[in-house]
Amino acid sequence: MQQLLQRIAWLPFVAAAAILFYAARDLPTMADPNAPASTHVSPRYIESALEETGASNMVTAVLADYRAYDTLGETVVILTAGLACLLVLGAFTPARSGPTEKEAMPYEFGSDIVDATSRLLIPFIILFALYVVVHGHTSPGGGFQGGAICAAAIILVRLVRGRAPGLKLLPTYTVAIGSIGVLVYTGTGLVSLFFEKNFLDYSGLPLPFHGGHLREMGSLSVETGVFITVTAVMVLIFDVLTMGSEE
Amino acid sequence: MEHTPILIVLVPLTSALLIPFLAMGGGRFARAGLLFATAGSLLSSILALRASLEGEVLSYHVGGWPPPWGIEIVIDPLSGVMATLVSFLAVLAAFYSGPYLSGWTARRTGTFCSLFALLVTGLQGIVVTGDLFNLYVFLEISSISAYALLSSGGSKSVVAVFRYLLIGTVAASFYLIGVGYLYAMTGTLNMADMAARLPETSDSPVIVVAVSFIVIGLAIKAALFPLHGWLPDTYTYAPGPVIGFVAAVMTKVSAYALYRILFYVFVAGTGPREPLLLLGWASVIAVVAGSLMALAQKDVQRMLAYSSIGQMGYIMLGIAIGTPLALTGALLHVVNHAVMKGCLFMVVNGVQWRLGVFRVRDFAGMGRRLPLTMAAFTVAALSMIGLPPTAGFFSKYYLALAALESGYIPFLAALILSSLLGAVYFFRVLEKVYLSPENVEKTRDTSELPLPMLAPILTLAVLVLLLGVFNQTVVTELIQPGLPS
Repeated sequence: MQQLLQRIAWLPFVAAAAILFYAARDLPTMADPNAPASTHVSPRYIESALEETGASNMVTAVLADYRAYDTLGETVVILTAGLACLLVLGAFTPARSGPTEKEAMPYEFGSDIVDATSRLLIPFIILFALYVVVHGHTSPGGGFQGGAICAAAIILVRLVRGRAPGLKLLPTYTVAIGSIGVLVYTGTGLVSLFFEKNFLDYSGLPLPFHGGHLREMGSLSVETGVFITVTAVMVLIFDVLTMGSEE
Repeated sequence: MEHTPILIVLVPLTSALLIPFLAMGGGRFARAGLLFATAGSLLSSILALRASLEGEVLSYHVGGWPPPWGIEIVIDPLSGVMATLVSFLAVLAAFYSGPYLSGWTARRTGTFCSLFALLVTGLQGIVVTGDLFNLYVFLEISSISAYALLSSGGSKSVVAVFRYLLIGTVAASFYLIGVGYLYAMTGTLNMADMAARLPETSDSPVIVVAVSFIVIGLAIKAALFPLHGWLPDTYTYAPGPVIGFVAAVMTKVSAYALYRILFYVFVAGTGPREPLLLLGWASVIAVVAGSLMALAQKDVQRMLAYSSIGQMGYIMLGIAIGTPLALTGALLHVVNHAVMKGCLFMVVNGVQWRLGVFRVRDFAGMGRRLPLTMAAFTVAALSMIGLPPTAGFFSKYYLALAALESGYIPFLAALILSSLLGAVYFFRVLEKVYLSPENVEKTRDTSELPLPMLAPILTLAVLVLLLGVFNQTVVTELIQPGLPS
């Protein structure tokens, strides 16, 4: 029975794919200007995103402003994943594979050459990460991408130099930093609440800007929150995967 | 006041973010943070529910953008009742977790409490949203935090939850594909807007496929037979306070989402009955199979898990029949089952926490050992069987009436058969509890459960009786305003 089921496990997969392809014939053609997807909601995004949100990148306008509540949820998903790793993997004590946090592991991997090369690269990686965050308004990019790049730089330090010489970021602190990131996001929204606007309505922010520019500042603030969370959680997940818990 | 709809989600979310900092001061502060999170959500839910019962549907535009461009949060009597139910059980579970978490390190307690608050955030987000994609985002938050919490019960639970994780992710993808197809056909994600735009395209196969994928996705999350494979192991090995809450509300929130989409977006009440009938037959099998499997179990917690599969069948059956009477029964059963199953799981986990036993035969003589806990167990079990005046009788009564009225005699037969089977498997336990001599060794601490565990259990048991006695009021004041007009 078990074997039979294993052998026909591909059947539902093929059936689902076949159904989807069958239905896809009736979907509107890709990039059809008369399709519902391009005539109902999106014209407003296309026509007035720059004026209303200050973001010339329409994707960012939808992501960080029109549907900022969804993006808040996605950021929380990332933090939740970090917390989940900490709860599940942190439980296996003491470390089975790696050394504990307190043990230094200098030069676990690498050499002087790797070390020198990484020193050269890391400032540029971090700078590029910040560029991607700030420029998310005009070009592809944003907090998620920037956070991943910045986390790559920190993980590179971890890989090359081991934990002790690098930034001493224990999981306790990376979790806290990740929470701060989402707090920046929700905080931006909550400020509007105190100025009698709806949650995440950036036009309520007490900043010396107007219209689209003010909303742009709001989006930049939440993107910064996303950046902090993504960076911290990536480092956190790397840490709990590579070493045991301190408990 | 005008911001209460968003506070239902924001209070537990912000608390979850602050709990890691509170935990630096010690585990007690983290637990206090969790209590604040759940109590705040409960208070906002009650305020929003009261406002919505006065006849106005609260619509909150997040970001100040009007729907369909922005995301809308909708509190009508239906979502108000669900939000109150979820946060009420969350408060009780937060109390219940106190003794369970004592002895944990501060950091682990903090992580646990933070994830618990995020689970409440996710479920409340699903309940209050008026946007199909936003529902998916919060479905993810609730699922991921639930995976983590359910797997924190030891290595067996990790293996069990890994399967849940795989199946649950597939379910979420099914839902997302369905929403994607719907967006391609209507150009909107707002539920009310989509309901208005769907009739133009409703004969297209794309819509049929989209509905099927959404129904399958949410049915997996709601553990409808035969898509229930993840549930028994996950529930059996889960840690106590988590399962008390998850078993009570999590599958119901998925059923609620399914109901909301079927009846408010697709307006299934007015359409052809045949597709719904398919769901009805699946539910009939679920009702019977769940009860039969429950009968075969030796482990009490596993028995309750299979019984949950049967009970989800009742709820789905009500949705499938789709008449106002059946929907009343289904929604009433969502409330009733949350209360009584929450109570049962909390009792069984309390017994396991105190005495380390979990088999049916280990419950021998428990009535003398833990009299109050077992009294609560008895009340909830009688309600599961469906004896008046407990709550369970009335929801089953509505469902049976609805099945009879619509002429679905096999559905009625399944309901009766399942109730009889329920009587067998619960009386099997009750007989051990009250009539058999004790057989647990005397060395263990056998006094009553500590107050933080006992109080939620007794509250739920009393609520089972109150919901039964005042069932007429509950139905006319809370359930019927929530039916689609």
